[in-house]
Amino acid sequence: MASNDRRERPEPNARWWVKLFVAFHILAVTIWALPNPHPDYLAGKEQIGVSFDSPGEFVGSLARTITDGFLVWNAKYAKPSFLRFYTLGTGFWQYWDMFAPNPSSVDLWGSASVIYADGTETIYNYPRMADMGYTERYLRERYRKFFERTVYSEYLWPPFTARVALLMTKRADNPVTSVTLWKHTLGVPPPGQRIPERYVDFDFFRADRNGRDWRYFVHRDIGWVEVKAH
Amino acid sequence: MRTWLGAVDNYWFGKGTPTALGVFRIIVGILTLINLLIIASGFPDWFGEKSFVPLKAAELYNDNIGTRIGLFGLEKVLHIDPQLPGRAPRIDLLAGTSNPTLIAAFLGVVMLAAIFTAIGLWSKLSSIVLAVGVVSINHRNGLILNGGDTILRMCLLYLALSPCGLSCSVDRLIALWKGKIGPELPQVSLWAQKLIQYNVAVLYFMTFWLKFGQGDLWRNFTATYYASHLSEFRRFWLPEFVNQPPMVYFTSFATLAIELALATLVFYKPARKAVLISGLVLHASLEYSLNIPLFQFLVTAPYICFYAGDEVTGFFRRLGGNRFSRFKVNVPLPAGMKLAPGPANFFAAVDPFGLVTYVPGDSPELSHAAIKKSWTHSLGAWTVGWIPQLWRRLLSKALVSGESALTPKVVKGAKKLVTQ
Repeated sequence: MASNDRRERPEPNARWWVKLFVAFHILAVTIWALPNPHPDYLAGKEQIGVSFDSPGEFVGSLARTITDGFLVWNAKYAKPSFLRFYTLGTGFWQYWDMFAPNPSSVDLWGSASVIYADGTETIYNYPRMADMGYTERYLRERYRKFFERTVYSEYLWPPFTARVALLMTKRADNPVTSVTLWKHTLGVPPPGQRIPERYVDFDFFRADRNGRDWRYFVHRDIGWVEVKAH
Repeated sequence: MRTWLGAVDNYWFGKGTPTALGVFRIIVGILTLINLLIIASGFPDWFGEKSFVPLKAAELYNDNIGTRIGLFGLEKVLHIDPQLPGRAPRIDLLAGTSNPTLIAAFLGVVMLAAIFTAIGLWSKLSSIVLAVGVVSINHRNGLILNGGDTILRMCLLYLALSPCGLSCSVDRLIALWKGKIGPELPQVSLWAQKLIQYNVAVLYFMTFWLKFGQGDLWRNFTATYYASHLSEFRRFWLPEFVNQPPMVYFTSFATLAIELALATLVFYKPARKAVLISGLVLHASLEYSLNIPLFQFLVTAPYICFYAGDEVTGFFRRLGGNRFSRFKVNVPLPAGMKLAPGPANFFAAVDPFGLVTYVPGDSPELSHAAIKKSWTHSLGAWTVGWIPQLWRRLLSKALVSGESALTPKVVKGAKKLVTQ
């Protein structure tokens, strides 16, 4: 009788281990994709708590306590849990912050000033989207993204200068001796206010060759493996 | 409880035809190839020790997985500190590689896998190679990635886990031709398709939460004003009033509303079509106004997965039956010849709109016009039909003599001719 029951049991939609995997995957991906809490909460500058000052305050603070409290817990304990081996290892890591929490209100592009051994100076124009045609802009948008990250990542400045030196070297007997990185920014004010016409220029990093090879310079500055200077 | 569990099981693991996954595979395969070509166009700047991103810089950018085994805070309560014995594994076939020739060759292999995935040749293998390849490239240089790359990576990983080659693929066509499978699509568990739906909803919900929870510019509905005034993002011309209040209040609000709907209402069947169309409108407007390559295509590509396979098949058939009915053609076969059953299924499969009917003819040979009609009216043949002699050979090989094994389609076509 029992064997008959077993035979009549309908075929499952999927094997048990597939179901287990799907449940695990949903948990891991959800935890990883949850937004980070406001930085002030993580830094301890702002405390999460319920206010009893007024009924409105109470409801608002309670809702914030639940949502932000959950996000703080997630950022502190769930994301760094063993689940990260799965998300980071497989490539399922994800964070959805397109134009979030706020869209950037600063226009940014880059350039570099280059000095040669003979003392002459020239400008290296890093690809700037606004100067390109539609097709080129579409194909080279990664340059904008990369420069945006470069500005905030010091370890990228030395290799950036080395690349610029390489691209700008025209004659072996007149090498590039110095590269200075520039960022040009323009803040967009709130609606109704006049948008400035001029960009503000900042030089944020200078690299001098000092008789050494540019490659050596890069390696030394980001603590890389030992490389012989030519 | 048992009923509820059964409903949950049916929702996540229920069976259906994999047509939506097949169409999704084609779209994502093509988009991946374009994306890889864009990356390759800047190759000297992005890969190798003389690039902007030498290996060490790329490694510094990558998230450090570490070895500590976190237990959701329980480890602090229990005063334990479990650690992995070694470095956690990560899909990165380019780890430690700086040789540009090697990386270029790797990129070439991944592009080939993208082509194979798009056409559905050796689908299982090619989709896995493609997913592993793209994840490796992403891990090799994360500094040039944007949101579109993240979506693409998700799509490819899900495709690799799914039975995406069972429909709309060369694999299926070969099996049909050889008579190894019948014309009916297989019924498979569609949990991978459900995961794609879920991940799309997660994408929209998390970005909505971040914007509405922490974005004061979104909460005062002026966010779109800023994005539209960044010259580095600007694309095609728009009238100025579109980027000024009160229009920006509307576009900011609409963005939030549509994103929330795409995370929630999209699962409610009566609202699904309207929600997906509003998503398409949102992303089409962003594609027009902002220079964010491929992102809008990549984020809308998984929308097809919100439809069941039968719905997708029905959609194509309806198009063929109504809107494209004027393109219906009869293709006369040589006198006394018919299509063998396997190839007949093959030719039916490459014609998703159902526009071509193969009918008995009276000429001794396949005419050039008949061959041209056959492939130009079969959507699935467009990629290869133009190759000289190929379609003629396929049709010729498919022909057998005799009347006893006329396929239902041919008989139907012949009956039509008689009634005419």
